[in-house]
Amino acid sequence: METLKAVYINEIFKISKKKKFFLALIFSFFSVIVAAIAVYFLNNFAGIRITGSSDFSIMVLSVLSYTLFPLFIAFICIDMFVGEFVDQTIKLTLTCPAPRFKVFLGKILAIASFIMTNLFFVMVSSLLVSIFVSSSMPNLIKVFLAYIMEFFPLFVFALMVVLISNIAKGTTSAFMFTIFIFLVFNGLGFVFPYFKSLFFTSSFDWYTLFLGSYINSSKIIRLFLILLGYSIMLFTAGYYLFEKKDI
Amino acid sequence: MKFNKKSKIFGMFVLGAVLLLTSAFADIALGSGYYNLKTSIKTTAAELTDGVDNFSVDLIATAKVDGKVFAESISNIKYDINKQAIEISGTDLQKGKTIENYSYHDENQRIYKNFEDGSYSVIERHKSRKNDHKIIENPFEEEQAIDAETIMDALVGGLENLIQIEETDNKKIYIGNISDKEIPSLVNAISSFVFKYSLLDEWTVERLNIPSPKSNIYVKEASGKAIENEEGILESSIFTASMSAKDSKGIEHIYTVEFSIDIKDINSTLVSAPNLDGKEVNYTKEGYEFDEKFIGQYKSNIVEVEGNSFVKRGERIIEITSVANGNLKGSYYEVYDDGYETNSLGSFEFSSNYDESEHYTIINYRNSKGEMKQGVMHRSNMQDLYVSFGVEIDGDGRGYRSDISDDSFTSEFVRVFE
Amino acid sequence: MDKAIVIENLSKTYKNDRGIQDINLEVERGEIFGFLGPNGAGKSTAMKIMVGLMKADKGDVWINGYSVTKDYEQAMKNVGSIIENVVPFSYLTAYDNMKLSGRFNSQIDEGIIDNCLEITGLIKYKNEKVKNYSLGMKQRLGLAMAILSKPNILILDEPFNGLDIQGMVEMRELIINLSAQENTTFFISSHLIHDIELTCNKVGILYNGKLLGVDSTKNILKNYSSLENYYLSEVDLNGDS
Repeated sequence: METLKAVYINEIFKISKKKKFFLALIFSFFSVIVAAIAVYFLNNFAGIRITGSSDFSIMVLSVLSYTLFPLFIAFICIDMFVGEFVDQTIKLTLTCPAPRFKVFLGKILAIASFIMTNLFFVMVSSLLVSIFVSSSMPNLIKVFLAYIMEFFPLFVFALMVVLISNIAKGTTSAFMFTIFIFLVFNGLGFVFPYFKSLFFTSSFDWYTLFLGSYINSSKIIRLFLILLGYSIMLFTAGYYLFEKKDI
Repeated sequence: MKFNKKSKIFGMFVLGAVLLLTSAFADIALGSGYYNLKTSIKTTAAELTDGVDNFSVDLIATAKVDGKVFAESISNIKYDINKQAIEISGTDLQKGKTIENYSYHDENQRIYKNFEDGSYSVIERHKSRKNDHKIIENPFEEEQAIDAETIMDALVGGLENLIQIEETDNKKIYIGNISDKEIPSLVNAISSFVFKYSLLDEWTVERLNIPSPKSNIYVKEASGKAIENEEGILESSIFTASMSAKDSKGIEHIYTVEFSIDIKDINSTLVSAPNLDGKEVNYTKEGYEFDEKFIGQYKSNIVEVEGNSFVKRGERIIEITSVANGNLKGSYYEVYDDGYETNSLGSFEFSSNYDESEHYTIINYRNSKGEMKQGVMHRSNMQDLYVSFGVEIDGDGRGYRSDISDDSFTSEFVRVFE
Repeated sequence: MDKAIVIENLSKTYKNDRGIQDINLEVERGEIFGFLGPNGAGKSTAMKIMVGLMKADKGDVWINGYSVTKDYEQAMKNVGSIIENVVPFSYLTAYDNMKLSGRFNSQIDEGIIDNCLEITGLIKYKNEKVKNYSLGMKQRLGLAMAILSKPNILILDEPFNGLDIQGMVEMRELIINLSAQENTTFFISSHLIHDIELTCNKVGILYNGKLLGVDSTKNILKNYSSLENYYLSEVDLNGDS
């Protein structure tokens, strides 16, 4: 446990010292501001109210789920695996008295923490900004639930990038491959909407299941099990490759 | 130990895969309310166009502002698929005035009722127009429908789960309900934009005498309900949508539209032509653009620009000599002032055959070189002609092009009265 | 005697048929073992397997009595290592890099980190980002990280790489001192015969992936005028079989 904790803190520490981490937060914040300005202008000049009070945070979430969140998750995951293998810094981590499983798990936990931090940051800043954009109080519980739910598909996406990062030989190819898979999964979901529950990317907006007056809990459970299945598969496959790697 | 570790990893992977596949296929097999409803709509369309002999539809569309009806249309349509006959009766309410309408179509005739004097108009159908299309066609068999469906599926996206299914007494009930909080921002933005700039633009608002949506426009609510009977046909559907907007004084208004469709009397609907005994009836034949009163002379001036003024050089004359059952006969010639040369069309006799085209009157003539040419003749104003010579008819018979590029040629020919 | 490192039947073959074959070796507690061999002989391969960076095809390594493949955490608990060139995280400072290693041992505090940086002569650059470091400074930082948790075994692959003459002398002194004062066991590889001769008290020669001979420096110098002569004769005798 102590060892895992040390690996986890080390990985968190490394992420927090990266420029990409601050870029992720700054870009997220900018997107919130830009969205607020767009909403403000549409309402005041075109007369179109894009969001009700509570939706501003949800609207921001729906946009960032397909853009900035996956992008920065991909950056961080690629850096933490194939990036460290390419610049050989991984040697330092692997020669510490921690077995590879704990190193892998520690890194995954750190990535999970990064995703949560980013989501939490966007949630808080969008709630703050929504005070200026809309007049009434947001529905905090629904916003909070939506942001929590969004963690799961993003985490599965991160595990996919980790798997790719353990296959690819370079950071660029890993990034390209990630984008390719992301587009293919979204494209397949678009072309074969009937089968879209097979592709985890279609769960990127599954928090909408919670927003309605009628909550289809069996659907939520099914989607959760699909995401869980994906997590287990991607985690074990990623770990298998990571364990096998010779430096 | 090493083997053990590997098999553990493999075992976990298989577990994940099984979990993923079983859940995903369970989800696909169950489908969403949206997909079930879509299947039901397709079944209904297929059944009503091919499976049944006859049926009736009640359609009601209502538009309200703040709960007050400002426009309403109620119609009852009876279809007889075997006889290819439709009977439509309904009322329209606009600006507090109710307008009734009635019509009957079958293979041989169209009948309209004029509610002002109680008279009927009967139009005998054009021979070539008979049997060319069915009274009702399955929209899902068309090519565009497939593409539209794909786009629709993508747009519906995460909303597909909003439609729930309830089952009672062998009937399936689809219920969907979405409030402003659940509507995706993009859908809201597009709907609001269309609502303000297209549906209720300034002109429409003035015409209908309703408050103009100015600001704070958003989709307030949309809901729907559809009942599927034992045969899989949607026998009753209701859809309501409302938008909220403030007018120029900042007062909030709710704009609501409601649609309801009821399909009933399947295989027990009787469609028959109205009994016209003792009624005032106007008979006409469809497609007879010209009749005997068009026999006569028509002319068009040949004009040129000289210096900075128009100078008349001569006249083109068309004489219609006979009209029988829509078939025209006549001649064309030109009269010039002395010493003037022009790109003459020459002079020729022409004739038309009523059955040649269902869209317009085609005239055939032999030009000065002895070649067979075609022209198109329309009525213009009440008594004049609009004529094109040397035309080429498009493949589908709906459009044509003229090859005459003479600036002095004008298509308007004015009736000459002695 | 207490065995610090035991290597048993260690084999690893790369796709190009190079690698190491059937290496058996024991290093006693407190010894400074020199692993001598030309470039490409397989020194780094053997040492990477020892610290778990690579997996052996066959055989195992026991460090402080624990198997590297089966109980990595215990085996590496008291081991410090430098494998090939040291690559610290360039976006972190020397101190932050040290802290990464330090988190695996709760007793390590800022004083100990400073002390290690002092020993390796990096204390002046403690808060400077590593990306500005020279090769030699990175090597020193690697050593500082390796000795941070006062390990009883140090596995150093080419530790003299990138060091200037003074650095080499200091490194040699540090190794001898640690061995004398703390009874630290060293496993050092180098292709520099002179450094091995001056530093190590036991030498093994690796040639073409095979361990040719293991003997104490004292014995060797009794029979040969220098380690270089011993090396050449061993290679002549067994090398090209």
